[in-house]
Amino acid sequence: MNFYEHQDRAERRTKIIVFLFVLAVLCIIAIVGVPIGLATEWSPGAISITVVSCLLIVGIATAIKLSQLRGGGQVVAEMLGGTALQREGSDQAERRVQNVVEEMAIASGMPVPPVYLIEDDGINAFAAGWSTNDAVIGVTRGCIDQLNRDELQGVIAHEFSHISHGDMRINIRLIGVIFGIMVLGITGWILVRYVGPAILHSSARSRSKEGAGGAGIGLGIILFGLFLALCGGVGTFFGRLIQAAVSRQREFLADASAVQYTRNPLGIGGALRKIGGMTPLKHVSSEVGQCNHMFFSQAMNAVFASHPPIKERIARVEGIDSGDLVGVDEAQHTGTGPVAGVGVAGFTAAAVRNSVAHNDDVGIQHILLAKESLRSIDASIQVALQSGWSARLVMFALVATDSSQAQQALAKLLSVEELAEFRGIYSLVEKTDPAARLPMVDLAAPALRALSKEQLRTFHQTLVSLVKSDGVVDRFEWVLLSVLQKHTSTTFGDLKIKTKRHPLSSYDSELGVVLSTLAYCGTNNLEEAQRAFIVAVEKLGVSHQIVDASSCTMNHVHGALKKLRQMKFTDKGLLIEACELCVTHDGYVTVVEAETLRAIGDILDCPIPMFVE
Amino acid sequence: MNYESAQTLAIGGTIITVVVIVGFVLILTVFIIGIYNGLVGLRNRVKNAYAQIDVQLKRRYDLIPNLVETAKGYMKHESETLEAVIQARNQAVSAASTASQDPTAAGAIQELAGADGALTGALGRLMVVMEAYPDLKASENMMQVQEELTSTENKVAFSRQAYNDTVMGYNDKREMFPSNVIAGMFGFAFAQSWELDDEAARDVPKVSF
Repeated sequence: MNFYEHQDRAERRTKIIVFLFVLAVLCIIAIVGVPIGLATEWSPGAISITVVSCLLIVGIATAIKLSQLRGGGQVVAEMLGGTALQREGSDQAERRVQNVVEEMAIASGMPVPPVYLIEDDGINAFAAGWSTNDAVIGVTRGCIDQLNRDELQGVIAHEFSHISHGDMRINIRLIGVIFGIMVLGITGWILVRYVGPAILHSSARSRSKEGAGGAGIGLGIILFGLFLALCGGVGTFFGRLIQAAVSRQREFLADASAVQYTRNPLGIGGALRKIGGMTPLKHVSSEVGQCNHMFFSQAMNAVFASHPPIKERIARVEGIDSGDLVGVDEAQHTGTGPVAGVGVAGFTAAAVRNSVAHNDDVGIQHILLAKESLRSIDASIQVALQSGWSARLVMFALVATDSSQAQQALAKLLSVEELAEFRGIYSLVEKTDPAARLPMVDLAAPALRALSKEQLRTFHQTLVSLVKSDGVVDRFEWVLLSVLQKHTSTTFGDLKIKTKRHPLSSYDSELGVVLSTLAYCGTNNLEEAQRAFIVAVEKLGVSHQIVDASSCTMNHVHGALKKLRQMKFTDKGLLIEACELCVTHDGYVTVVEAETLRAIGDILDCPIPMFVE
Repeated sequence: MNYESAQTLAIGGTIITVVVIVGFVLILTVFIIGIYNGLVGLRNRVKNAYAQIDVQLKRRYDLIPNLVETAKGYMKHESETLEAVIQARNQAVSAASTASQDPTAAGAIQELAGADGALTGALGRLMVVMEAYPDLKASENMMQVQEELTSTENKVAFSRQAYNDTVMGYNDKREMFPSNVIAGMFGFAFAQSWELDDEAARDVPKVSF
């Protein structure tokens, strides 16, 4: 199964989970409804109000939580008490984890996720977010201090698997629904503890007729509160059960992927062994209960484990029998056997084709290549990319290469200090290999996301006016703009995309625009472009004429891609494959073609791994 | 109206009151929790925005002893000015470490802003004195330290702006109805933005080496 199928499956699985939760809530309501019905001799008013208020509470609470979580991974990480790690000023261990994350992200063609650190001595990690664009990775202090580089790489690869398999999205929704059910319990508790007694108290003081009624109301409220609290308990029980059932299998898959990404079972295995001897997280905020299922190893001693037993995970990863693992915590590396269920992909010569077709198979080659391309970026540019102030200047420099108008425009837009720094950066960027341009943009993502809304707005304005300064939006400028917009802001609308189940053919004109643009990208010859276009269209199985170059402006492509974002992931996969055919049909891939392909993948939330020869 | 039907009516009335009260409490609870979590989220964002400044400040404070060491070799008779810089730097370091514990604590940011402003002032005076030592100004080492210091100060200014934006978002939410009620109930303190006082603000351009 590849990336696209996993994503589609994740969508479907979410629906099943939501259905199960609804079922659980209905059961709860039935449990409350029956005693109330008996007490009121089945008065329709009382029963219907009970049912409606239960539904309302769970619904509203879930909606509120989800709306908060719309902010994405960052919000979740902050909720769990994490602080964003930064390059400058971080110690050796912190820098190492950031390096590992960067390599993995560049290798798999995702924007580099910010790393959040949770001050806790336990070894744990999580990934959170709606899509690859707002994903964050969280690690505990124990994780970065106690694991060696290989083990850390294993853990980070495991989290990346959660990102690319769409697990994060399920997880974040689970947080919302579990919260909704928990609120039911909390409300019940408030009724029992405060509201009921208060009414009883006040009615005891007033000895009038209404006083007696008040006592009845007070008692009624306490009883009702007890029921709600009970329901909350039962609901949480069901919630945890579902949470556990869903996430256990995903953990095995993520472990297997970690081995596949790093080709090193000892890394993730060693990490699990170290965890085997560790105690659960201690000083984490009270929010952990809702988020249990997203951690690397279980964060709390819940009755229902959301993660499989460590021993079994080690056994599967290292391909040994779990019975042999008596002294797990002694951290002795024993087995190096083959890993069950992991398809080892060989890489053929057609690099792009490979990356697209085996999208999911990010391997050690990708990581090595990522390391290499990171090395080709000058050290001082790398430093500049880590702080918002100078990362902006690097982005300006990328746009300003080969454009004297842009440079003139910049002289007006920037302050004296910025201009001084910009000149230094520009001379370095100019010398950098064009193939490293996009990795630079990826690297800048965490720093740029830390800007305030105000700063981000000015940044975008400046960038857009730069791009427009010479009157045309060239391909790279479009790539840069759209990738940056995607990574840093919400100009693409919701981070959550509403997937529509329309057939591929209903996107006919949009597909035509995107593929035509790509076809024109590689050549100046119309016939050549036509051939590339036809190859691509045949792959999709739609019939279409190549769109005139005049209606393939970047604006058109942008609009088309915005619509195409709603496609099913399997259709997106098909489109990406068609794009790949279009790009490779003449056997030669230019940097511009490769970058455009990456940008298209990026906008469609389909990360395309680095092209490995 | 006979006795029984009167009783049923009374029971019915009680039930409706119970249900109405319960419904009201339910909605209120959800509402309060939502606002509370929103406030916590914004406060965390303030802390994270402060962490951005903190990193750059630390870098700045680490560079200053370097600068002073280099200057010492050339300036034999200006120990007072150099001493003042070091002292201001040490004060700023301690203010920064207090602020990084909890940037929303009362007075923490104000104190840091004051200490950092004083440091900027002391640096400004050092730069004026340095005019009399052309050898020092031209030294490779000095130019490098100054270059890094300028760059760091620019970054500080930029992350300070981000911090102030974030603080404004939090304070707005804290003061607006109805979230101000919840903020008062759970003690969400006012967060101080980092304002440059006039003197410090005037001093900044002087440090354009």
